[in-house]
Amino acid sequence: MTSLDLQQEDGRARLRALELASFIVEAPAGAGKTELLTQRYLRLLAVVKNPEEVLALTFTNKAATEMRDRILGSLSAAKLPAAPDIAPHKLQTRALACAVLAHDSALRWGLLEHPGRLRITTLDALCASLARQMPYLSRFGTQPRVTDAAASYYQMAARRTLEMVEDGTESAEVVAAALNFMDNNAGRLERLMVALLGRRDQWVRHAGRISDSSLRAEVDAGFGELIARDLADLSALLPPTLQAALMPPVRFAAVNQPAALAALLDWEMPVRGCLEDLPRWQALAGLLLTSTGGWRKSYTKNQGFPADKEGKAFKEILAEALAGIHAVPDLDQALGACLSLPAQKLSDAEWSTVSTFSHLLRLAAGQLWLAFQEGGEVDFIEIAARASLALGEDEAPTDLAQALDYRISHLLVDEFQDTSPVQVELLEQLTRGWLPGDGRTLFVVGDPMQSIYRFRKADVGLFLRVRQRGIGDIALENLRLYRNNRSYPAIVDWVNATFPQIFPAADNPQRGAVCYTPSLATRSARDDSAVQMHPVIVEKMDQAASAEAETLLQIILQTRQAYPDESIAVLVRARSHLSALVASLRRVAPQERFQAVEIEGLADRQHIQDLIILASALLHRADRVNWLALLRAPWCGLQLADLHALCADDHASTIWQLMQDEQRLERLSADGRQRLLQVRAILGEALAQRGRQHLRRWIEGVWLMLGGPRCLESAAQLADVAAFFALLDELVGAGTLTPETLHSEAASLYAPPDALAGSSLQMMTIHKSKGLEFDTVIVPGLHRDTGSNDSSLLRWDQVVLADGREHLLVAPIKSRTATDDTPTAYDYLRRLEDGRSAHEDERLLYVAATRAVRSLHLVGVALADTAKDDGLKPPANGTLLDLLWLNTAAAAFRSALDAGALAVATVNDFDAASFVPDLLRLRAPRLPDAFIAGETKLPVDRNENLPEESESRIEAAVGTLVHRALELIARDGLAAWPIERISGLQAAYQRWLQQQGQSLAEAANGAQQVVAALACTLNSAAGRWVLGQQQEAAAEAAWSSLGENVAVNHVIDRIFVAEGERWIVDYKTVQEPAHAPADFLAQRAESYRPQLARYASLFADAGLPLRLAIFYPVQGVLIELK
Amino acid sequence: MNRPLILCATARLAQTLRSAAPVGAQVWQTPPTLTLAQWLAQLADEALLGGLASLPQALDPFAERLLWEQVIGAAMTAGDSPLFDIQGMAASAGEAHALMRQWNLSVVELDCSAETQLFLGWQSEFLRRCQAGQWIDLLGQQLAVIGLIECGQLPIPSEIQFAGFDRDSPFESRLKNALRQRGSVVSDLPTGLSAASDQVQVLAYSDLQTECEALAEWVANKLAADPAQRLGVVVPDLAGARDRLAFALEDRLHPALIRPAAAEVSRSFNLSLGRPLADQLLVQAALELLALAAGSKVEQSRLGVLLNSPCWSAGVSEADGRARLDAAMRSELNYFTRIPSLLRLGNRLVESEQLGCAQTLADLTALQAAAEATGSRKRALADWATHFRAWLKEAAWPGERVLSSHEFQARRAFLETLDSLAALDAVLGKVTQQEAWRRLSQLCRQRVFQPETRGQPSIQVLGVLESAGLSFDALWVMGVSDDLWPPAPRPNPLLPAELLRAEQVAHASAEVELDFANRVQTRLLRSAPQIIFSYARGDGARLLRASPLLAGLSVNDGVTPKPASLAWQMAEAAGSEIESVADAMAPAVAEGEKVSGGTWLLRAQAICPAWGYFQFRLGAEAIEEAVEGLDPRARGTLVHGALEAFWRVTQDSASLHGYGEPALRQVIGDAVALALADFEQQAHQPLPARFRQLESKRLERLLDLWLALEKQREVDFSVLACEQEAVVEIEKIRVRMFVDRIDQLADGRRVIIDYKTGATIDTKNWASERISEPQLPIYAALASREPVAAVVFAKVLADKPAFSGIAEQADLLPGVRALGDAREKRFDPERFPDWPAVIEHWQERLHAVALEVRQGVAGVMVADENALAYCPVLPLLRLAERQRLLVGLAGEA
Ligand code: SF4
Repeated sequence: MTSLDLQQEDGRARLRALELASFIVEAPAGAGKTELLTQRYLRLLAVVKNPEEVLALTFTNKAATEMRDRILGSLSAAKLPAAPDIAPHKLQTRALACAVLAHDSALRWGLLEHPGRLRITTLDALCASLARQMPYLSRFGTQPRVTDAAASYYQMAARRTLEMVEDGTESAEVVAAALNFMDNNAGRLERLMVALLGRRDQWVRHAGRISDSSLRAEVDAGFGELIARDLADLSALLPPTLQAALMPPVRFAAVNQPAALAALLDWEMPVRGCLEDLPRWQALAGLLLTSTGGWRKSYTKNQGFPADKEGKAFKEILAEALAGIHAVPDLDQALGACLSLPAQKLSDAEWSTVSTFSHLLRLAAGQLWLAFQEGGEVDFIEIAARASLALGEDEAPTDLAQALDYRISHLLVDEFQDTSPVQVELLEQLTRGWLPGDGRTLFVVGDPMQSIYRFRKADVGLFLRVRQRGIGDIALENLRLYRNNRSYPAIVDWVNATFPQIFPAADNPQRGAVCYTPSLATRSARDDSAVQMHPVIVEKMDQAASAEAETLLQIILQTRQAYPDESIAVLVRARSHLSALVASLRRVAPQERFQAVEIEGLADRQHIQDLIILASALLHRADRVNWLALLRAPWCGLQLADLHALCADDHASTIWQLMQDEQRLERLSADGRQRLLQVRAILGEALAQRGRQHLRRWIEGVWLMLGGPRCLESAAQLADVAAFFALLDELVGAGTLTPETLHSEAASLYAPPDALAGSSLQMMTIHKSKGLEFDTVIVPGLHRDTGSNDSSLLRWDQVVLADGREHLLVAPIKSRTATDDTPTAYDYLRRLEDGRSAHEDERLLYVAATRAVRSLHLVGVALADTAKDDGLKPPANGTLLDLLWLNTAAAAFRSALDAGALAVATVNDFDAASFVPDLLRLRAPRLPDAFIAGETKLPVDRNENLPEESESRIEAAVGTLVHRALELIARDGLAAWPIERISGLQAAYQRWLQQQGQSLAEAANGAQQVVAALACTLNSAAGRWVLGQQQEAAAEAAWSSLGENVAVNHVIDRIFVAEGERWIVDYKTVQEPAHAPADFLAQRAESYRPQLARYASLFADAGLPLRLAIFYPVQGVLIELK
Repeated sequence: MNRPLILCATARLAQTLRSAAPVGAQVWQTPPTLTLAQWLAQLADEALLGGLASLPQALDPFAERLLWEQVIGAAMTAGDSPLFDIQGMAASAGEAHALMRQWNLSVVELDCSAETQLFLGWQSEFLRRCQAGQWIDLLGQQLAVIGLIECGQLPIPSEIQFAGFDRDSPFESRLKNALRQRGSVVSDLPTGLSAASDQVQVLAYSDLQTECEALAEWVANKLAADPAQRLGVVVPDLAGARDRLAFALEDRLHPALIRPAAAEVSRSFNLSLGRPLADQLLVQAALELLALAAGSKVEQSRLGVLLNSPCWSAGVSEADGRARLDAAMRSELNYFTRIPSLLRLGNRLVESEQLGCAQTLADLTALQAAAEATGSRKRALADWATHFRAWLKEAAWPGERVLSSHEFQARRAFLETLDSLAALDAVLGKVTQQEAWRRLSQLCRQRVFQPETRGQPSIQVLGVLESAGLSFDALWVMGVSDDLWPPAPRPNPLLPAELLRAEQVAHASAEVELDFANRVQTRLLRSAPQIIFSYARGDGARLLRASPLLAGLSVNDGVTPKPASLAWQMAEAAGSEIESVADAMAPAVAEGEKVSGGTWLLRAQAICPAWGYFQFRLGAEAIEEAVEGLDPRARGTLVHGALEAFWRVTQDSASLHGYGEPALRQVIGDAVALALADFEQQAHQPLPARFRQLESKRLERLLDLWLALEKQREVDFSVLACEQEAVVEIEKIRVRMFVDRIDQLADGRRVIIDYKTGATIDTKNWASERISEPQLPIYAALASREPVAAVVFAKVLADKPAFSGIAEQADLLPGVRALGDAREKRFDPERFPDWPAVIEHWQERLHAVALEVRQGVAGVMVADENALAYCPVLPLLRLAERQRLLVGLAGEA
């Protein structure tokens, strides 16, 4: 297509995308995808009944909030008059927003008042909401917390599974078999299980099918199909004409070397691309390739060509044939690959290993569920799995219209190239039952060329398949955008020219391969926009880092000088590629500040390590290493000799114990002793108060008292410290703070970016840069490789057969003790994965390149190698430089080499190995003033450890009930409460007591006591007198008084005025012991005097004389306190 | 005097109204103020005690939830997969039921979702069970009380004022009607100020942290101006912002109270949000003691936490001993272990006087005995509560430390909770110990514990609901972003969403939440003369917007307060207070000072002198982490043991070759059995049975593999010694070591062998200045009196068994190169022309390193940090600091 075509096609697609139909849209880098999504979202809002019916799914929370911001922004802007100079595509957005506002006010949505009604969320959050709305179907019961740090649960589950080996059940056999297979290495098995539990969305369902008898056949068929496909590809590379030329010499050779070439003895017909011909292919490959996989150059009698005349003749024929064959690109690799094809069927041993491990994994998944249950939280995988469960099987789908709070009418999915199989399945479930033309639409948008999240289970093949076949029953119309509004033409043109050669020629979903589609620059050209390759050539690889850093620094300095206002980004494939660069940049140009986004480890900084030391020591007294380190840290700075005097002769006691030994302290130097005592006082306080403070504050307080902040290099490091304490908060909140977790979690944190650096120079990984743009992009480390795939107990894969059915593939890991080298199915699947990740590398380079607006710099290092023709060692496989080598990089490196650009090793006469650092410490440790001044009002421990023994529960309950009844009697008057009424209430009293948790017997007994007490009271003169008073009377009266600037409440059982005197009476239900002295009640009454005196004080100024008394209902006795 | 009864929406408001002193009064009659629920409960009580009506007993919330749980559990059939959180399901069901009551909803069974249908089934079963037990849910009882009022029963105050209700549900409307019918004067108590504030600001901050700091700054300034002010802080998401806000307030208002001794000193602010009782250290300890008392197998880290807790037995006086017991447990006991094993280990160590924690062990023993005596049969919860109390007493809970005021309250709360278990007996019946424990811990998790505050803090930090009806001199409402305010609706999933929306049930829909937020906002605007609303523009990667309810108010950027924290003040002087002291020499080894470690010491010293010093002269040992199964070291020990046992029987190559297949198998089997038995004896405990079998198989396989390699040796040998102890003195440092194996060749020369079962092997260092694998060189160069022909590592590995080392001549051992071999890259032929040169080099270098030890050389000097990967004393080496200093120096150079 011409660029005009592209432009028209692009415009047409953008319009079409706003129609009420289902689409899959491909939007390359810089195409303005977000604007399109916004427009469509607005368009849909204007046609639904409730705004909740439109659901947009994004890849990250950040993207979700940005999109919401954009939509709300458009809506708010639409309320204002339009700006005169508004751009055309903005005009479109504005029109759509106006329509939404009209719709909003017609239906009284109040969208702008309640923007939460916009459903823009991540898939994870959607799953969580589905699970919440269907608590029973999802089997959650209630929505659990979701943790993204589930590794500790995986480990717990793995360990508990391993522990099952001792439980004597059938499961024990499974675990034993697995352990046996793993050479009884529980640690290794545990690690592999943990890894798999973190990916169980990929296998749980399959693992359940392993015992199906049909499955083995399915798997075998799957492998057969894959192998056949490989052979078909191979035979396509080696057409019959080329084969025919080979036949005579090979037949000749086969006669001489029947052992290796038997399969080709009667080679008359071309070898076909099918399974039966595999042995012939392999024989051929063995002949034509050397053991390292390259074309064989010389043929001898070993290959069946003796040095005699006949042999020579055939060798010449062979050489002629080979000329054509060697010219076929990739044929050597394809032939080599056929040598490592596994057997088409898993052996019985392999299959039994598969079933053992599957069973083991199911056990582990079961343990994981229990572990989650104990912790009350789950991981995202579980949420997704349960959401899917709640949505129901295809055969018995859940009625979503009833189950959800609003029906879903329109779905929009962003970044569709990075979805995982589970996610696509979820979309299928959500759209089940949608019919064409029923008004519901699905809209997915993405760019397969930017699919780079395989490590998060993304599979670009899904995009390709969905584009072809739709989702569920929904066919998706394919739209493609071409415009690139971001980069200047020089960049776009370079990308258009370069990437078709880097990307494969055709899409292949199974292999995760995507071909290139061109873009069209919309910005007008600019002279200073360019793509530059910066070859760095060194003689030894250990010079690479510094030479590369130098180049990098030059680019940065030049760019900054020429374009002070522009943004620069340094993008790398892996964090580790940047650490050396960052270090040398800091060294060479400390004045250049930059933001390293999630690059540098927080725990690599000494001041953070000091905090970890402090926390570890406080949390465990027997941790001698950290206790010594605590004494060595700058806030104490004990010298070696003092440490020696403190603990060299006692390796058993804890350091804290030794610190208490005064005699021992005598041995220290005066300075050392003073330092130690200072620290001892602080730690002593901390240990004595252990557990009374939020743990984070406890540690922080000690750090402050020790003068931790004084030991920093600068106040700016407090940002690191804050990040550390935030981690502590998190661990304390989760209840998992231990020295071990602190260590491992701190190691996975990144130092916060330099607060003093603006955002004009940033360093990050290519993954982090996704969706961002920078005026200048520098990609260093092109020559660097990343680690390889880890091993896994089982590998799973899937293949879609010609009939459209998916076949499961599975293969077990090879035992370490296995000695033979025959190719295994496991290796085959691993290579398949490796192939996919190689394709992803291509896309990674694409993403990096398309971040650039004006200028793109590519920096790579090659080794000079005089043995090679062009003087350079070609870049390693799997590096980005390798991808660029043939079509751009090689030439640049060669001309650089010709120009003599060999990096000279920077002479470093500094001997790092023998450098011995000094001890850094506070000159004079002292308690910070704040603590000295504030020392006045610390609480003294009160002796409140007295055992809390009280009256028995039934006695207390009886007392309460008597009070309650007396209150009612006093309120209603004696006339309303004849004795009979009381005795008639015994059953009610019993119930009341039972309701208070008393047993039946106790309650019955208690009710009897209550009736007796009340009867006694009503029968006694004293009782009738106390209850019958009416003047200024109150029962259970509440009074307040002003204490020390706080109101204090008092509840007085009975208060009244009789004959000009105010009586204050307190009821006490007391049972007289058997042999009580006669004045028992009077004595008891005395003990209540303080309480009554307190009441009396309330009425001290009220005028009337006061009488204080205790009334005993059980005895019907009133005793006045004189 | 007849004062109106005031019914409040929240307990806090009731409390505030009760304690509000009339102007000038010292003593006053407390106004009758109750929450609505309290009053209705009181009426129900009166109905019962006055014999007016026999209402069914209201289940307490926990018992009600248990009943729901039982109903749901009973409705599930055997094939159903279990629910993750049946308690949560029960809570939802209970809530749905309450909503139906409060909002007077009726659900048509047809045409509703599967979840709703299920719920309706549970509901009728729930009501049936209630009837059978003469119970009722709380709202049911309240409705019954309203019914009594409606039919003229129960005395009713003549005047009733409602306070702090943001919006009436049908429930409250019905009550108000009934009261009016009875002739009571019903009104709303005006709360707050008479007019909305006219001093309202909206401030935006970059993030939550800054927002909290700015708020703290504002509070501090206000109080500085007038200490008697009452300030309010309202936070819609109080749970989420609680810690951050509290820390910021504390840092700004009371920086010095962060010290541990000031943990319970009262602050000038009060947070209306407690924490679960189960989070209290005291309660955690109690629950763990009860859980573990029965001696079941658990992750040993749980025992470790228990040992670390001061809240039982001799938790203070034996804290050090307990910590050491934990350390010992990690290295000696299995990953899954139980209290009896811990007791055995502890008693062994105490007996050998290595440990001081006898009291702890005694109490733990008593606890276990008590649990055992109680047995495992089912009992009523009331009964369990009594037993649990007794167990705790045996364990000397809550320990010997004097309780702080908060701890005292926590203990009381815990014991109350324990007592309240009895109230569940009616619903639960007899239960197992685990079940009883589970219910107790659920109760403790649900019960919110908030220690009483002493005095009246001038700053109240409240959630939205608790702020109802309160007023302040100035108010700050923080965290008012569009995702939280108005709040997101959370309709009950068990009721039809359409119905909830139609009836405008609280929290059911966006419309309702918006209306609710609007009311609250109106009320807040009248609660203080001066009001600030604030929000953060971002939270991590999320962008936040101002709440739409603030529309119309202009948003200003809040001023980020100048950093003023104590840390900041101290850090400003950072750097200038640091001194640099040369301190790389420790005291020389004194006469008679024993230096342990042997070859390990020399190894560490060679890699980094400080390592050698700290680990071996100061005894800095790291705490181990318990592992499941055998750790690599133990696996190695077993291999060593098995090979030793094998070669003690098979004394030379001739015998090895002489074995027939069955005989070899037999000898290997015996050797492995012996090694395992030995190992178990060393470890004082048997290996788990099944694991032992597996390990034995592994060892047999491995030996088989290894001996095949030994058979390939072309030169005959006899095994002279296995695990041979040798002691040499180098520079007065006594080095004791065990040589794995010494073979003798026909000519009398020795081959020194060291078995390696893991890790990569480095022999390159043998030619270097600092020999980091000194074991074999020491023996060869310093201990052996006979000439040595080869020193080799034997890599006894399942995947690639091999010898690796250096020999005097070729073909002595398969794969071991001879000195002078063209392919030999380690030993430069110029420096090492012959074997004696190698020996001499070793002698010299070993002496040099030993001399360092003796002199006390202890600087952090390391050539290759990778060699420190497994260094246990890393924290002492301060490598990051060294790196930093290095970069600085290199920059200068
Ligand atoms: S994994 Fe499945 S089959 Fe195996 S024990 Fe568990 S439930 Fe049974």
